[in-house]
Amino acid sequence: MPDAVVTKRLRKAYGKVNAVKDLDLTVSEGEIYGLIGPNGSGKTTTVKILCGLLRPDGGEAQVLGSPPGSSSVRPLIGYMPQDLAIYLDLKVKQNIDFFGRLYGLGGKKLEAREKGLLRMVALDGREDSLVSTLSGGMKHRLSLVCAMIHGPKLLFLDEPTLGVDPELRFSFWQYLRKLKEGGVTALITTHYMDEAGRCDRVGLIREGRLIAEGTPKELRESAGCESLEDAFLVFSRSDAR
Amino acid sequence: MNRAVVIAINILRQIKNDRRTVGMIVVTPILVMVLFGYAFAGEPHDLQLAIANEDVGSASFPTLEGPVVTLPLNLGRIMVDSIDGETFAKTSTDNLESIRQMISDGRAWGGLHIPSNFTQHFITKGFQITNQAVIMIGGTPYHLNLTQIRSMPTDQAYMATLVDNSNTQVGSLVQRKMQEAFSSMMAQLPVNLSFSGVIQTTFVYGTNAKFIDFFAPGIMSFVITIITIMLTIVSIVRERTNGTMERIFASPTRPHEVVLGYMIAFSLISLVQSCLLLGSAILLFNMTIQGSVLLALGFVVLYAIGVQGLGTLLSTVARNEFQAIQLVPLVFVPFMLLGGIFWPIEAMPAFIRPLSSVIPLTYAAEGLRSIVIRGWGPAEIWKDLVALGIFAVVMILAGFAVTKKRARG
Repeated sequence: MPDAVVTKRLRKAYGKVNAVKDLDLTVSEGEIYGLIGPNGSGKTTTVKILCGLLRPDGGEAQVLGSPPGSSSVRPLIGYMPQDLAIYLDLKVKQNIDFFGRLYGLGGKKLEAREKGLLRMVALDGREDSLVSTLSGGMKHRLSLVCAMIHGPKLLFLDEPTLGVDPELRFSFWQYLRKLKEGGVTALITTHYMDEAGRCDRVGLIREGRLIAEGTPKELRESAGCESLEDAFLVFSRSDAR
Repeated sequence: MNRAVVIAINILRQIKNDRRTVGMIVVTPILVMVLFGYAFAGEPHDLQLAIANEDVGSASFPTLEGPVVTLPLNLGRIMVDSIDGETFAKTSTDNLESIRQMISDGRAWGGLHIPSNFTQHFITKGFQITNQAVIMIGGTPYHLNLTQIRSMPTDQAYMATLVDNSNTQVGSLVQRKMQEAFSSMMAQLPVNLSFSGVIQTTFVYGTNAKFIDFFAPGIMSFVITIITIMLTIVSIVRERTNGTMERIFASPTRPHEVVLGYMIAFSLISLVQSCLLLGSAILLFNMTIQGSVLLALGFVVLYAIGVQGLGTLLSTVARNEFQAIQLVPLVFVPFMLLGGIFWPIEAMPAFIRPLSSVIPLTYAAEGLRSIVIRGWGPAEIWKDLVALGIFAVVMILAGFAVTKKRARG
């Protein structure tokens, strides 16, 4: 399967702090890849570099075969930042329209996609609701719709379930599975270990470096642990030495 | 009570840790006091005054004794010398028409024309009115032949003052100072003459101008400045803090499209505001617009484009909306005090005036005032148009540069 994302010795520092340090990462097309690590481990910085929002200090990165941020890649990726990143003073439909039009969508095509996605995240019927009046869970779902409105091939989801209740997290993963069935690749960052178990492959990141990579099963077996959380601790301690 | 102290300490600690806020707390009051002190320090000075003194001087009168008596005077020169040299920068010119031209072109705030036979005609008129029969020259009394004097011409016994009243404060000052100079001239006369109406005032601009006419264009520009800057900074900072800007930058949207989008939105808002401001000034205060309303609106939109760019630049300094709001006084105060809205720039000390010339509001207020009161068109306000055009281009380019930097980390 061709690679959707490849990084080689990727580096990024903020002053004296190394956020990403020689990161080698490969995400194959059609898979859900989980970038797992504690707060401050470099997950968000990595995603931002791959979305073309940050310039790396060194190393290489390819997204769908092109450099991150290049004009050929931007229309093909969807990005859901850690913050909701939607307009609270606009209506649901106005938010989706806005992000859709940024990708050149319009008319019936936009309307059709909008309807389909709103149905998928159970927000149909709330098109004319002001976003500020929605519940936290609804806002999260709307944020996901905004990232997917243009039908991206590759989704970057930065901590999409942070602060989200278990029921909604469950639904979210259901949506993600549906997207995968449709051929979408997703790189998702999280520090919830139970979520990592739902990914096709997982990369454990610590202090800006990938310390282990594999399917959840492979990682558990390699660490000799029953849970992914314990496996992460084993890999972390081993890396610290 | 203890909890109140704890809350107070907590607030002070937060402010202490926010260097920008500490800076604003310290800088703003000093800036306000210094600028207020200097901007409202005194009367306008160094106002350009065009003077055409054609008076040839001396006045001769028939006497009952036979010979003609001559007064070796040049009232025109005395009048010109009596004009306050601090208030006015005097420029000599040829005639009444050239004075009018200088004022029409905006090269002078006022002008004084003294006709060639002023001394002769003025004193003749004085003798005719006062019926003065005897004058003393060098201790010798001369008896004037009033019968002959009454038939002598006096059509040049008047001085003409031309005033640009587009700035009503300056216009009033020019008239007052001319009267003071005339009184001083009268005090130096060797003969006791007293009559009024010698200075005939004509307004080149602002014939029926009220203070609101001077005030409104400045206020209009000022309101556009504050609202546009505040909205731009808050909008950009909000987009940045809630993540929508990042999402826009991750899309195929290019930085210049973001800059242009903001520019279009705020230009439209400024246009609506300008219509409301002009409309209310016309309907509520009977302000009259001598020039083109469309030009006035277009001029304001050009200014708003630059101001919006300035807002984009300033937004890079603010990390959050709280800091963004605090930035407003830093623009508000110098623009308000040095932009010539309330007080003529000529009233400011010479050393502070260069600051006015780098504040774009100065050109916006002056240009708009010229359109509204003087009825000037693009050809006459070209300097203000160029200044605001440069301001807009520089700000757009700067806004584009900072947006590009932000978009690509």
